[in-house]
Amino acid sequence: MDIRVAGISKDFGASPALRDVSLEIKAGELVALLGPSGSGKTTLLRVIAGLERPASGHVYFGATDATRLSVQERQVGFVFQHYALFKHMTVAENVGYGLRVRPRDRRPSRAAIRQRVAELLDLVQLGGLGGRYPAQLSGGQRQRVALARALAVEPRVLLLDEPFGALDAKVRKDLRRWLRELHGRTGHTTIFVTHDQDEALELADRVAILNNGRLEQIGTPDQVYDAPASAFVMSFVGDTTSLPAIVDGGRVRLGGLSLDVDVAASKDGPAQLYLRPADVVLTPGDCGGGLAGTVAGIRRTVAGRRAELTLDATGTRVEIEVPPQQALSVGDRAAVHIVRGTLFEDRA
Amino acid sequence: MNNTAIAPTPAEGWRWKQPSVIPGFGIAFGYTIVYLSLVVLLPLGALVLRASEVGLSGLVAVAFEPRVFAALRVSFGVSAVAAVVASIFGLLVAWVLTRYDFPGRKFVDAMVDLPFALPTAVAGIALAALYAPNGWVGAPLAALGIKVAYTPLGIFVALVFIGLPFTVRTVQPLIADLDRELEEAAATLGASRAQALRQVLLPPLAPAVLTGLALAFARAVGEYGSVIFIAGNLPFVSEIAPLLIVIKLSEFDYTGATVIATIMLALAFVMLFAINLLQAWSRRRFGHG
Repeated sequence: MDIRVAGISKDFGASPALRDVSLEIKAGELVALLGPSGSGKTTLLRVIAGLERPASGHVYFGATDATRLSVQERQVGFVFQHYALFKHMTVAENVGYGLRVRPRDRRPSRAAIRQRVAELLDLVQLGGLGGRYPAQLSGGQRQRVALARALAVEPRVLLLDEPFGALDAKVRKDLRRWLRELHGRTGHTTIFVTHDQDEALELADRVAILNNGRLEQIGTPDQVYDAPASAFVMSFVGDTTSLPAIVDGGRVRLGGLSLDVDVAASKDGPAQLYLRPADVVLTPGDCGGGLAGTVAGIRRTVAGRRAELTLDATGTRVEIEVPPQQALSVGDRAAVHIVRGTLFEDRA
Repeated sequence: MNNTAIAPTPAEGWRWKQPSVIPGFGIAFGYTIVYLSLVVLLPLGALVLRASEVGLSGLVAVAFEPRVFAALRVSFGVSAVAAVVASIFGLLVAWVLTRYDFPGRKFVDAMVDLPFALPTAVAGIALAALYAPNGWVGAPLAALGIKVAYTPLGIFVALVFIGLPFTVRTVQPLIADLDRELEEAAATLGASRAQALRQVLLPPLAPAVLTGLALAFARAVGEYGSVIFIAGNLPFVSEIAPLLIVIKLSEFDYTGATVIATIMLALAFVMLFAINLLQAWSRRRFGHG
């Protein structure tokens, strides 16, 4: 089912939570709502589910305007961050709940419900645990029960609020891959909220980035990473360092150096040059041709090592990824060559 | 195997005390036993000892004396019904006080405890005046042919009054803890408000409601002050067992008084034990935390 959100605004008291957000989600798509806490991503998800009423704007499910429909009428599957399982019901009773509460004329028979629950438990790899209570399961298992419960009602759209937020890193990773596979098999239109950029990029077909209640950009993971629409997207998705620079006549000047960076989109004047760790190359020693500086710190990362360099010209620090085998220690002199960079106008 | 060997644990067996980081087991346990003995067991023991003068057959004989039997039936029967009704009302009051914000909520919340603080005789007199055939509430009811004061119905009203706070206070914290997301989850699954209330929100409250019920029942069985003013105390109709004990005492029949007291004690213990079993079951059934 296509989901379309048009011009949604919502405020809590005096602070706006959503400001004129519009986006379209195609049937079968897996979309991430990514943003820092307080960006309005969860509010947007709850507006789509019907758990919050927007102050203005519309939500469309396919061609029908769902804005005025109640939560019950919308037929969404919602998975809560803290699972919200019914503790006094067994796993099987939890999963079958949405079928048991249907009005008699649409309610499947007991045997049909039992069969459907067993299928769903197999789907989420919890076959045989139907008789347990939620308290007897691990966090990852509970999350999967919540997902099975949401899928049981054959939702028109599956909405997940920080689905892996409360799980540890290893379980998160496994569940992430598993959810991707599950989505491939069932093909539900799925929207999930996360503050974890890795999760959003790895899992989603498209990522919508929210900040301060506004939609900053929506696009494929490649688009938002490689062609960020704003400085916020640039700095929120992936690691970045920014340096103050001046655009002058088609050249970027930084601390007396003139850099060869594409400036086609920028006006003359002060700007910020955003650099990803991979956009720069570090050469040890005081050789010319780059920005000279002193190594202020070195940290081990999962992939390699990351050096912090204090630049002589501006006094600012840049983070640069270096190969683990490169000899480098704190206090060494080094020079930075900027391979590419992205310019945004100075917001200050 | 890269694990280091784990020291073998000593054979598990019954131990007087589990090792614990919390200090003071000895003194706390000793104090509890001494205190319970002095305050609870000693007086009750003396009571049973005095009553045992008549022997078990004597106890049974007294219990089935028509007047005593009628009084016990009124006491336990009305107390049970009153405790159930007070629990249902109490649940409703607790729900309203916790879930809704309205002007004067704190005031009403404080008022719930008044039946605890009020001298029971004052409550009894006030209720008797209200429900008497010429009272504010009694008169319209009398016109409908319903007599409240000086009947078992009057006893019921008094016992509901004193039993109300128990369930309110046992259930309130649980209602406050109910996760908003549970209701939202039920709604997204298509459950109506009524279905969500009945199937999702109320079951976890069952153990606390039963606790309140047990407390209200225990209090109602032993209640004296508020009841005697409104009951009319007609033998075989609206005479309660505690009143019978007072009558025996005023006749200097101490053994007779302790015998009735012992019977009440035994009956109350059996009923409270039954409620506790029910509660343990409900905790297993609904209390998976």
